[in-house]
Amino acid sequence: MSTSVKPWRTRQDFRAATDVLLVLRVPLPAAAPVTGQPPQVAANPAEGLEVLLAVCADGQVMALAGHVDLGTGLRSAYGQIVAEELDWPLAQVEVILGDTARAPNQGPTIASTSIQLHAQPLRLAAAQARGWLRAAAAAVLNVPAESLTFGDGNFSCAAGQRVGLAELLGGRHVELMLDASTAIKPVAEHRLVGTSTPRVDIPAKVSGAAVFVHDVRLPGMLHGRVVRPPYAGVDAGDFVGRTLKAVDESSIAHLPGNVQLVVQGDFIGVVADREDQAEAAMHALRVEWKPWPALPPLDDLAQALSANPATARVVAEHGDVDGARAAAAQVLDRD
Amino acid sequence: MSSATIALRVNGQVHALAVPPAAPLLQVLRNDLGLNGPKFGCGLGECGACLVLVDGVAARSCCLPVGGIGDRAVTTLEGLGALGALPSCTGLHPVQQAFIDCQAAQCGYCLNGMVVATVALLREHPHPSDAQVRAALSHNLCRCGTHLEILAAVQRAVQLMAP
Repeated sequence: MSTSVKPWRTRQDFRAATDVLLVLRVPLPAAAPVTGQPPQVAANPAEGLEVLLAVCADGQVMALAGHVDLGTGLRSAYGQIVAEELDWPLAQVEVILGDTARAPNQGPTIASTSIQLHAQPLRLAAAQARGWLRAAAAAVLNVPAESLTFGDGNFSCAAGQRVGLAELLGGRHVELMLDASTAIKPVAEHRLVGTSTPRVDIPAKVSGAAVFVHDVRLPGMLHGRVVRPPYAGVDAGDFVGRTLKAVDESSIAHLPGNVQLVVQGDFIGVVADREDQAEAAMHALRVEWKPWPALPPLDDLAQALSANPATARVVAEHGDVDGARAAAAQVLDRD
Repeated sequence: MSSATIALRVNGQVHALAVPPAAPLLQVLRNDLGLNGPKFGCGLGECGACLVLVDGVAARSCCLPVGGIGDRAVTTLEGLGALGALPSCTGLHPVQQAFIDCQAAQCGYCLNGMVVATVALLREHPHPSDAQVRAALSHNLCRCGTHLEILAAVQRAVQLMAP
C-alpha cells in the first residue's frame, strides 16, 4: 500500500479533505491552576474542534499532538501507541507534533506530562477508528464484525472476501467525536507497545538531515547578537532594566553589513547581514551603564543563597506541624 | 575587513566563498554552505558540538578562522558517509550506523561532536581501550546524559569497522 504526504496545513484542510476518517475532540478547558506554577492556557475555541487522528484511504495515518519531542522519544512513543491500537504498520503512522495550525493546543511541553496527557486520548481515537472501520467492513461483507480478521490494510472474512481502506474511505469524509468509553485493546494483546522499537528520529540526527530550531533558515535572514548588562544573571532589584545610561550608535555606524540597533530598557541587540558582522558590532558598540548595586559577597555561598530575595512557597502541609514539632524528641531543620 | 574570495574544500566539493578570512569556519559552514551538522554550543571550543574533520583530524570549527584552512579537506557530519561507506550502502559511515544501532542520542545536539570525535579516534586507534574512548570524548559535553549509550556506540563502531 503506497501512501503519500498530504498537503493539509490547517485544521480546516483536514475538515475539508476527502478519502479520510477523522477523530475529533472538543478542546479541553484549562486545568485547575496549581499554586506556584504558571497558569495553564486553555485552547482557543475559535480554532474549532481538535483533530486527534486521521486515517486516509491510501493507508496513511496521522496522529496529532500539541507537545514536541525534545529527545524524549515522544514521537516514537505516540507512534507506537497509535500503531498498536490500530494494528497498523508503524512506518505508516505519521506523528504531527506541536504544529500550531494543525495540532491540538496542549500548552508547553514540560513536567513529563506528554504521555500522561495524550497517550490515552490517542489510544481511544485509534481504537475508535479501528472499530468504525471494522463495522463498516462488516456491513460491506455482510458478516459479523467479530468474524473479520485484519491484516495488510484489509479486512477479511472466513469465506475469503476482503475489503480495504480504499473502498471503505474512498470518496468519503468521516468524522467521529472522541468517545472515552471506546473499548481499547487488552494489554495482553500488545505486540508493539512494550517493545523497544528504534527511535524514529535518530537516523536523521545522525546523518545531519535533521533540522533543529537552530538550523532553521529563512530567505533574507539576518543575524543578531545581544550586548549584556554588567549585572547579567541578576534578576532581583529595582536597578534591573533601569541601569542603561547611554548607547553610542555612532560607534557602529562605520561597520559593514547594514548594522541596526535595538534598545529596550536594558536590552541591547545588534543585527547585521552576516553573523561575523553582528559579532563585530557587538564588540564595537560603546555603552554606558549607571552605577548599580554590587553583587553580594559569595564567600559564604549558603548564606548568600538564603539571603537572596525569594518567595517562600509551601509545597505541602498536613496536620498540626507546630504541635508535632513541640512534641518531637528531636527536631531537624534543613534550609 | 573586506571579504577575500576563499576556496574551501568541504565534503569533497570546492566552494569559492566571498567571506572574511577571520570568520569562524563554523559560521561559514552553517550560514554560507547551509550545513546543519556542525553546531554552535559555546563558541569557545569547550563543548565539542562544532567538531568537523580537517584532513581527518577532529577540529573545533567555532575557533578556526576560515582563512586559515587553506586547501585542507573539511569533512562535516554530512560528508562522513563518503569517507567510509558501509557494505550495505546505507550512505552512512560505520560510526553513524553504530550510533543508530545503539540508539545513542536523546536530543541529538551533541551527536555531531560525538560522531566526529569517534571517527577521528578510530582513525588513530581502531581498538581503543575504554579509558582511551573516555579521554577522547571527555571534551564533548552531553547534557541529556546519553554517555553510556555513546560509549556503547563507539564499541559497536569498532566491531562494524573490524576487517
